[in-house]
Amino acid sequence: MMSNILSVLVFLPLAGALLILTIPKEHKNVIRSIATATAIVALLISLVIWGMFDRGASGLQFAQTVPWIELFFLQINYEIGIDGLSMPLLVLTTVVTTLAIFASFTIQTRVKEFYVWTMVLLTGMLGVFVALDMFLFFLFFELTLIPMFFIIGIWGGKEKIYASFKFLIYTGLGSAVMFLTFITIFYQGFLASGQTQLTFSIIELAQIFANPANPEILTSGLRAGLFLALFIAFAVKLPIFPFHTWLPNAHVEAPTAASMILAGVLLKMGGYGLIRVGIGIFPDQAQRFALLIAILGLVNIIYGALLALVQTDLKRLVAYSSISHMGIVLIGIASFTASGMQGAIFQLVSHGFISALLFFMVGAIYERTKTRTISELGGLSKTVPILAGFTIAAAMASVGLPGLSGFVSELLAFIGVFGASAEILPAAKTIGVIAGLGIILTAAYLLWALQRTTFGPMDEKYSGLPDARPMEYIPMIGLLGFSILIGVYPNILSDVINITVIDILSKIGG
Amino acid sequence: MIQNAWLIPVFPLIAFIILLFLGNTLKEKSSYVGITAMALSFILSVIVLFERIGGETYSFTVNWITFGDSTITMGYEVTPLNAIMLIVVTLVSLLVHIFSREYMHEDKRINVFYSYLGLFSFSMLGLVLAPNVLQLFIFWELVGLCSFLLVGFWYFKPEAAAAAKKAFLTTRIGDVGLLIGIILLFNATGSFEYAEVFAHVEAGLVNDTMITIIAIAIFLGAVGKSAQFPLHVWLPDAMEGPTPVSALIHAATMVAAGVYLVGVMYPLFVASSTAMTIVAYVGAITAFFAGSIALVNTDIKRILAYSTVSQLGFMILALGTGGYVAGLFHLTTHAFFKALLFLGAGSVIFALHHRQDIRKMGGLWSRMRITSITFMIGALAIAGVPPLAGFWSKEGILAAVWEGGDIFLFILAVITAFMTAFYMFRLFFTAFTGEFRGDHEPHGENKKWMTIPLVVLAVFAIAAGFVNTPFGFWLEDFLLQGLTLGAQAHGELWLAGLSIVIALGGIGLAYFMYGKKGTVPATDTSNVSGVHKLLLNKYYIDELYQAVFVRPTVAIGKFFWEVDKGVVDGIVNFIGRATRSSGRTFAKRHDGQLQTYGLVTIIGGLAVIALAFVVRGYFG
Repeated sequence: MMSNILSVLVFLPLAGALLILTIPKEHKNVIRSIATATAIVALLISLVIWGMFDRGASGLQFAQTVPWIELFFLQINYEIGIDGLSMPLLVLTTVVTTLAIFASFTIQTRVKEFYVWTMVLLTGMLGVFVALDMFLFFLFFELTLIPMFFIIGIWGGKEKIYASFKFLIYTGLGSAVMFLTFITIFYQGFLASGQTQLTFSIIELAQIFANPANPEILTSGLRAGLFLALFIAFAVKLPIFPFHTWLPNAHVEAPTAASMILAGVLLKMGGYGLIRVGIGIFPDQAQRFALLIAILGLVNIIYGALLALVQTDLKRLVAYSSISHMGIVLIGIASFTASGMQGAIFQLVSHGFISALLFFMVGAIYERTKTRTISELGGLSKTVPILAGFTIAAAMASVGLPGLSGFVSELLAFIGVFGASAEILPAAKTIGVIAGLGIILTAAYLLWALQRTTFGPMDEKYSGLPDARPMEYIPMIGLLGFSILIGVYPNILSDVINITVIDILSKIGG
Repeated sequence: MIQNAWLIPVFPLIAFIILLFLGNTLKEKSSYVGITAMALSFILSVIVLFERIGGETYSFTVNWITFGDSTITMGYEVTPLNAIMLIVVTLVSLLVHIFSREYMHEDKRINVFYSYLGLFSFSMLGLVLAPNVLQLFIFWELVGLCSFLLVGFWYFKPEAAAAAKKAFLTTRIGDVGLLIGIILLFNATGSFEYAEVFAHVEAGLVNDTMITIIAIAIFLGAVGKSAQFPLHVWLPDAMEGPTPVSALIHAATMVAAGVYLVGVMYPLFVASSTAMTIVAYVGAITAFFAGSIALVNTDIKRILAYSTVSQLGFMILALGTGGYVAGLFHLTTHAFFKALLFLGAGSVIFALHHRQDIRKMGGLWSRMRITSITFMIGALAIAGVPPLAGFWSKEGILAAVWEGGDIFLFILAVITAFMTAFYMFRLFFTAFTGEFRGDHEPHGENKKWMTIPLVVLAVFAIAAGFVNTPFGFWLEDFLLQGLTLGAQAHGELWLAGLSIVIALGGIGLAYFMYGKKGTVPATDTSNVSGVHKLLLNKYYIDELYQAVFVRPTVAIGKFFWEVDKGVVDGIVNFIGRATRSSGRTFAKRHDGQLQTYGLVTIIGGLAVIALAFVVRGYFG
């Protein structure tokens, strides 16, 4: 079992989905229990892997390669494994999904389908983070698209159809770009390798691109073009301006649980792909585009924050805050320093917990007040003090308050940016200062939102609303707890990430 | 015991955790949890101080995070400076805890109040014990959070909600400067640890321009936290919080953290004369400017708030002119007498059913004797009347400024000292002497829960200055241990004489204007003009910031939102519509049937393989 533990983890939710399919749809509680139990077991397995993960070792762990499709010159392997980059994201995925399931018990319509899709989604997400074969990676990446499309389209809000199609078309276009780029990478890699078989392995391709047997084929222009194409493909997911407009619609219309997963995990696939595939295969090219990446990061930070500032809908405000926060990932990467890169990964994890919590809080408030319009809320501290308290905590986490995880990722990213070498990232300090303005804007939109929702006089029509239910404490405490854990003792995470980050950076210029 | 110094912040943290979970059950009894915790912290702080005086020292670190080959640690250490700060913080906090038991007892959320006080005390003590500047920053932000929560404690009042936001946001601006400063410092020296950083700086391993930039960036943090011009605007509004909070956070401890920050980073500041000049000027301008606003205000808490801003400016001015001991000495004495004044104001406000306008007071001397006497002691101390605490520390500051040689700064300092004596006694005579002018007769002197803290603080307001007088510079010798600073300025006799003349002059003027004739500051201020109007409107700084920063930012946000909806998304929707018309046939297939999607997936998979064949054909 231990040698297959990653595969068990990835396919367990799929087995859960199949099991749910056999249950008559009237047995909603049985279905919910199966989904919950499956997610919890997946969570426990991921924690076991976390415990067994060798913090001192570089390279891949729990690796497994099984020949899968051998067709003529094609060599597609079922190749999986994890390192310090994927390990935290794996745990993030199981935690957020499990807690999102706890948040989904309020869903009453088409329960069976909902959990089937959620389970398929979980397998897809876990698969993305363990796949080391690009074909496999792509399949898992696509596997997340369909369930999310249905979840938004069926269980979403008023404009769910528009939002779900926008999500599908947008990310589908991203996938198309990814697909074409992958094909080109395989082909060029094959030509340059001088081998007789076409490899799909990210690791082998990285080696080929680093030391091609036939260097004339892999011109620097080609590599740069391929990196940029990959960058665009993942930019849609992260999302990076100007490819972000699917996100507010999708987040706002999605049911709470799906918003949590979408912001908590799906966006991270973009950042993960960028580091794993983009920087993994094209380290030198990535570094050459440091300034571009940093500027786009700044645009995300400032533009997202300014838009969040003027939102009238609380959920949309949180959605724009995600765009802003993903900018931190970009500037961290763009520094091409150990701390910046680690800050980017920290931010992927940290934002996963915090944004999921924010979306949960917005959902819980909406469920009670039936409104998300900021001006119609107010005085929640009086009506629902516990929910208001967690909302304030979530907002503070998002603001980057020390003691919570967001601070650590911002700190690391900033250390990286201010310490970046001038040849790699020109005007690094200017970039850092502008990003600092983003921190102020973040505090501005979140605190202003708190002033108008949790604080202020209470509208009489909200008196007597029920405060947090016992079941709601689980996601609230869970998500906040992880944010506090990382915030208070970040070593728990940096311990796992550091060697991988050093590895990634050592490939540059080598 | 010194190795157990970490327990000092932990006691209030435990109180916070207990109240977080059991507060609703304990209700009014929550106060005992908080008071006990603070009493333990105070006792331990006293022991630690004596051991530190005895020469014992201790520091402890643990790895916090590793990136590349850098490791950041967290821990605690006891230095002369923080040993004294521990006493100040735990004592004032303990007294505020005791005072609040009566002041807040009618509030249904008294348990929440005490839990926040616990969290604040923990954070403030953590800030003080930090052995590195990153850890200081972490706790620095946490005290900011507590300030936010406590200013907004009466969240249902729109003014309180707005003030809480303003306090957090304004200080946040300075905090970003501080964060950037310490990151630059880390990148320049490879460490956040005070000792290592200063060793690098003193060895000349950091270039001068960088030192200046870092020092100024760090100073921005102090400007925000200690409410210095131009980031002072939040502190007067923060008076929306309960008065004991104003005493603890917005007078004695948190707002002094900015001064403390400059103090702990002093070797860095000293290394840059440009930074020192900026520090001195910001301090002097703030001291003068806030003092002038206090001259015309009529809200008892806001007068004290502007006074606090002004006095913090005094401390900053001292540090900027080389008066390291003077600045920190004034921080200590000010903590006691300003906490006293605020709690005294709290006692008055409590007795007057939450009325704060001094024009509606008067005659309290005969009605609230203990409050009145202790308040007068506080006022005499801050005015700088010998031998009270404020005299010694203020004289030290004037000596440092004089020694600094900038006559402009000295004149500003002297005028400010005069204004301080004047506005404090304008307040005292208006509120405590003459006839009672309110509509609700006060219920008389408050209970012992409130008066005992006043008496204790009054004792300190009288005696705290004796640790550093020309008869013995004990504090100076203690604070300068292990530091390589130049000699500290000591005032000559003429300066002491000048200080006394200023103090008595200010008090005298106030007496002739308000005390003797019982004149009350005018209620109708609609036809005042010129300087008076400018002062009443606080130099229009709030209006200026609204016009220059807030409204344009929101306008830009709205503009971008239109761009986002219209242009960025418009292009997408256009493409979407074009695609949809051609894709309508496919859209019909999105009918939610699993089988259909299974089919689509399979077709997709086949397409992938087919494409692979195309690729093969391409180079076949």
